[in-house]
Amino acid sequence: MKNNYQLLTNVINKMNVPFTIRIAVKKQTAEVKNIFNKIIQDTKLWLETIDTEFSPFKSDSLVTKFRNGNKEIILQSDRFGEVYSLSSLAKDETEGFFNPFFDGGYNPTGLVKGWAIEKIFNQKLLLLLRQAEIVGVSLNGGGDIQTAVDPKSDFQWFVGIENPQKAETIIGQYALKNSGIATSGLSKRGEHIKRVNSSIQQVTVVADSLTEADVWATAGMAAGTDKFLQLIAKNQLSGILVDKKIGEVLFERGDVQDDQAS
Amino acid sequence: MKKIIGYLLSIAIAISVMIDGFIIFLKGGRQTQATQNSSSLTSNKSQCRSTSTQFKDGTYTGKSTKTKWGDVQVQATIKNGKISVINVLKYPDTNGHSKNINAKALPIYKSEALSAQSSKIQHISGATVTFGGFTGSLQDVLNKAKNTNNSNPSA
Repeated sequence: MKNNYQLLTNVINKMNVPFTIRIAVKKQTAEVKNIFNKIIQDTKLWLETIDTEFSPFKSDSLVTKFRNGNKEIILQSDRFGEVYSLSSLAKDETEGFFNPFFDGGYNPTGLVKGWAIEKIFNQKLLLLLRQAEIVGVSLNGGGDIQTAVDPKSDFQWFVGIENPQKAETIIGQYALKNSGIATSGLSKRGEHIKRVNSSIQQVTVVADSLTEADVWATAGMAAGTDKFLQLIAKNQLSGILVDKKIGEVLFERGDVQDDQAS
Repeated sequence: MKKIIGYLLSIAIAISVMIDGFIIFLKGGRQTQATQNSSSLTSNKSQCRSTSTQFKDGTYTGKSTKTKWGDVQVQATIKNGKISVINVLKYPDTNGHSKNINAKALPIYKSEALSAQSSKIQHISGATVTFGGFTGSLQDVLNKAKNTNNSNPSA
């Protein structure tokens, strides 16, 4: 049983990151195109808002104001309060390996992108699946992706995992329905996280929520392979890590399998 | 002139309060079961919102956010008009099964050149994320595909 679906794609460049919106449709109707154009505009606006409020590089962003001592922002902006409490929770859950206070001030950059993608996804993109013609929606911000599908269809999103050791290749792929997937590596920008000395090269985490996947991928890189393997078991994580010495390690709900076949 | 500026400012504030309210309304739709605890505290907070930036001394609590790890909200103590302490209140999920709902997704696990797979893959998850960077260019290639033959290679 093979079904061909058509893809509609748009890329928004914000914060030097490509945000790719893709939807899968049975048929491209005028209505579907209109809906897609609307969602592009909504997403653009949202990302601009997030950049304005949370950029640590903008002198008038909420993050900068908070860092400069204007702590009242935590009560004045519900969004800031939400990010603040989520990042504090993430720090506890990851035993401090995700740490938004690593540089003395508060810097939630490592969480904001995943959170922002998940937020607009749940508020706007998910609603598109109510349309009979639309079978899948996805939003990819620089390699951190949230996906959803119409449960009545057989559609799945195939996500390739970049190979950190060999350019232009992938180490595997996931078939996803409703998931968040995030990858963190040595070259990931904007995480601003202190790392222990380790041969870990890349961490990919799959979870229901992209915020959670993003936090764990970042924490995994910070923790290094040995400690992260303990955290994987304790928190029943799913994903793949790449270590320079031991190669690729696949983990599924906390169970770790060494994959030497590849 | 000053009057006009003041007037415009108050309109701007009113609009921003309305927008905030709208966002809360949107969020509220998804968070159907806020804990009783948080809803009583939220009313406390919306009072402080209407009095703009000047906070009276006391303890204020932000909006509650649902997460897989339980509900969270910020709590701030104001002393002499300034925040003296910030706490994050956590209400762990007492059902106990919140830890066990991670996505089940076994990868099709092969190392090969992307081009061979590109008809089936729609996204790349990677760590090199800049616009025009490595993942960007791989994703660019994938983005050119208009159709997807959505069959599971392992099936």
